[in-house]
Amino acid sequence: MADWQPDVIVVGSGVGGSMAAYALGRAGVKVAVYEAGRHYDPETETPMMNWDREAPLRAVGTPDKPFGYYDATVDGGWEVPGEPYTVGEGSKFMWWRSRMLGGRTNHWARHVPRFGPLDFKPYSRDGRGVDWPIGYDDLKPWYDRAEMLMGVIGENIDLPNVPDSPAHVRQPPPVPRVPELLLKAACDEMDIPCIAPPRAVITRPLNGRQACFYASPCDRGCSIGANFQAVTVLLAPALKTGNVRVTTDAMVAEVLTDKDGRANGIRYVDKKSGEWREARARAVVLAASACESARILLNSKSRSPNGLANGSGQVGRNLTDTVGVGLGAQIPALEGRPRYNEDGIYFAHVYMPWWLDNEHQRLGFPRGYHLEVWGDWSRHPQMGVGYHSNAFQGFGKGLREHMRRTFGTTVGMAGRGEMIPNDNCYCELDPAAKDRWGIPALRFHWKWGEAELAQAEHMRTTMVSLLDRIGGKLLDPSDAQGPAKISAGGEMIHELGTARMGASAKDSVVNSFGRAWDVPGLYLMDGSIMPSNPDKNPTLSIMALAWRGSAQLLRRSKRGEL
Amino acid sequence: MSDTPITVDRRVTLKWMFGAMAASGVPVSGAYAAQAPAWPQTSPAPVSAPGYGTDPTLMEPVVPWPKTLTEAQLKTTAALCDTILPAEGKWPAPSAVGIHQFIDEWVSAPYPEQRGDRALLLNGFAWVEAEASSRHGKNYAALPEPARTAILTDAAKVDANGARFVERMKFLTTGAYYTSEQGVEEIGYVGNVAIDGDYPGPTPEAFAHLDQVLAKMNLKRKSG
Repeated sequence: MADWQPDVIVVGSGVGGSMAAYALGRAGVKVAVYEAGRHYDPETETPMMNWDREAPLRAVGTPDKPFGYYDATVDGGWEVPGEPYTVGEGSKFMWWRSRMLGGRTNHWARHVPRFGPLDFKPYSRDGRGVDWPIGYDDLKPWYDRAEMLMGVIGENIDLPNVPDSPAHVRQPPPVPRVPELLLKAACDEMDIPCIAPPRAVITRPLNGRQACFYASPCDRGCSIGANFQAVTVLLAPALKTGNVRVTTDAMVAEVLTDKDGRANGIRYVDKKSGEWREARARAVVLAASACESARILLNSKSRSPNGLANGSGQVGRNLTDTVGVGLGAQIPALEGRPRYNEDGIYFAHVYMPWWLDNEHQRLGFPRGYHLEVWGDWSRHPQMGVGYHSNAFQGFGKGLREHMRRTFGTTVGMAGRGEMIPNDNCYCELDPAAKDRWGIPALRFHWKWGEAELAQAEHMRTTMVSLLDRIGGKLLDPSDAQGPAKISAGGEMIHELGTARMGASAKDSVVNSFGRAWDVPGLYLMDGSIMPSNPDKNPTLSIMALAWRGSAQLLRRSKRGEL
Repeated sequence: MSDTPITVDRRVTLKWMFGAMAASGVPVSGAYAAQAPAWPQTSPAPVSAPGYGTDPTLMEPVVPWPKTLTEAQLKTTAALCDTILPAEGKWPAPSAVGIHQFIDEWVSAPYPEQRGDRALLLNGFAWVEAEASSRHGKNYAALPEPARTAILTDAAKVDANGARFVERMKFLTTGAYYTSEQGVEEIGYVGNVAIDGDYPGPTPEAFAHLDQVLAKMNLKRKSG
């Protein structure tokens, strides 16, 4: 790399960083991507058809691999050895990290709804949070492009805050399975919409990627490229341009600036040798994830002890996550049903988008949620099938018949709702804790607001009503009563907002293109820039915003403004 | 039974009691359960082997930690598994497909959940063997099925640990069995095979069953 000089440095190879590398590299810009994790190749590393019995402990989760042995997470989890974070007194916060090429696009739910028109103007709507400096129409063309590149299935519905996807953009979704059709019938009766969810899984070949063959859990990754992983969908074509180079095992500590305050490089540690290095370019794109990017900015003290791009004091503030409540039931009516291949796309084939946009006054909480569905029928049996034995009195004779009858009768639901940013939720540098390379670590603070608690309770009652309507027996009987067991901060792995965009440098960190107000040459292209956190999972929106931001960066580059 | 000589060794006493009850036709488990000995509370030496780490090879998995159960404990485990889920027709006993070896792998693993189970299960094995010995003078595995069932039934009644032991053994046995090749077949799972073309969805038989279910619930299927 000695004689190769990049134009732009991109920190992070998740959806935002890889999108930037793709967009810029294809336009002829030389891009150097720095990733904190190791190289990773889904084509050769994905255990597509392995049965759980082939893995230690039947592949159940352990502290080494919290989401299971086969999960596409490398050197990651709620705790990463040598890379601590702390949590303020009275707060509950969990920070999921993944140290691999493609970051957290390897394991994720691949649920990719667009944000709707109401989602961009929350303050105008109910006086809480802040409006985005852009609206749905500004992002719509980028959603179209992002969906076509990502490869998305789904179904349109006439709801004010659930935008349509043009017919040529989305691919056909798979038909629902029996437990989903049962739930859908209950939804129909209760006037709750139940449609095919937007998922980043393809049912038709796309750009050299094969269509899904309806086997193998997606959270293992996909060797045939049938689901979205940044490595297969974005980085592979980006690397093909010859303009993009990737350095893995590079833990970035700070963004460097020149004497005029322009971002012109990074300082990082090569994790393999422990050596500190610098890299230089004409612009720096941070896409290390909302919290990691905030950490890098706060640790970049060449200009100010408050960190870089932090004239507004908003870096690390406004941290949000999705509101999560989950519960499940065993459905006796599904016992003994005829078997057929129910693997499908592994994820649920139905979901319930928010349907009460106009009734928040009556409901007593201001923002919506959607419901997702899960069960023990959408993949080959896991160790957890053994929990069906709990409902059998004793053991021995009859237990086999019980196991045969009850397999495939669990239906679970998960509420995923919008959180309103509040002053109690933020991250900052811990005054003492450092990682193994001496880089100051983050300290998190968290407190749900009343709006989230009320919303969580509504999720619980709705899910209980639906499961009750189909005769379900709650797996945890205590779910029949409130208050809902709301997730911990960060547990939904949708951290956003720590360097939010806005209309002015006074109260935001970047503009709508992710360009830092205070620091020429510095762009942010991950979840940190999102000023609100709608109930819609953020990955598609991060990708659309990163593409839009990259296009603007490119325009400025062509005008010689970098 | 109030005459039971208290100076005699407890095991001997129990053996005597069992003999007396068997002779008089008193139901063993019920009468015995009232006097069941306390659940052992030993803390077995924790395993010290490393785990598989945060970046194990997914394509060819290996279990890096050594198994730790003794031959005798493995025999007890196998017998317990087979009592919990007896062979039936073409479906083999758990021990025939290595479920006891899986439990050995489980209790030998260096992770918190499995370490907890290690203490629970090893104490359970000890209790079960002590009972087999005191009641019948034999190992648990050497007992006929009704005697095994009686002991395991009583184990669940000793205290919370005993109940937890039985529940956990049920979970481990069935969870491991129904993820084994034979168990997956028995449970009727069909899948994990590549499908060419669109996902076909439910079969006519599956739809017919669903429609019956819906009709009983007074629900309707709009389409699909």
